[in-house]
Amino acid sequence: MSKDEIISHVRRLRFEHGEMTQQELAEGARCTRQTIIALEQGKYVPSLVMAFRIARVFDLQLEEVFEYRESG
Amino acid sequence: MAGLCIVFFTEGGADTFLEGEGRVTLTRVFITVGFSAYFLLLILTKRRSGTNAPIKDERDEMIQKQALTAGFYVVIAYVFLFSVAMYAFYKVYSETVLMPVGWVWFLGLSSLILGHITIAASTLILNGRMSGNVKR
Repeated sequence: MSKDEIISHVRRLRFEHGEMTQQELAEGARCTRQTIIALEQGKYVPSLVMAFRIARVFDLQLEEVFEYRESG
Repeated sequence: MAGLCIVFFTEGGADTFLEGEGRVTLTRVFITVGFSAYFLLLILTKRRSGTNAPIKDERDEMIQKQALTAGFYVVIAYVFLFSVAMYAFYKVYSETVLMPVGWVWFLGLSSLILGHITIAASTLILNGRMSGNVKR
């Protein structure tokens, strides 16, 4: 069983975008602040639609926000 | 659930549950108070956004689905095991395999309560872990 990982750069990107708050990001991505917290802690993998919405808030490509790491 | 068990298993258990109004009325009171408190809590703890962010998103929906699935499986396992246990018990101890109807009431009410407890507990656990989705 492979242990592929999705690495989220949301936390770093928030700070690089003028110390954007979790609430502001949540409002932009149309999700709850709890989801942003879970994303930053690596405890939740968002759907493709939400991942695109988050990337759009940062005005970045999807792979600049979420990184796919294949292991094994 | 504890209230139901106390009322049900005192003074003769299933055999005498439907005899007289006292225990049945007490069960009605427990169920009414329990579910009233449950719905009151739902209203009181309802989240209000106050911002542009939604109150509920895909993660909440996933947690809800997983909690409902857990509740469903726990209840069907409970009903199955309870029924088999009842059948086995009365098969061994009663030649006619006749089960007091009080057990059916107990099964109905307890499965309803167990379902709610399981869903609530599962929601709490999943929310605590914050992992509404599979971590890869």
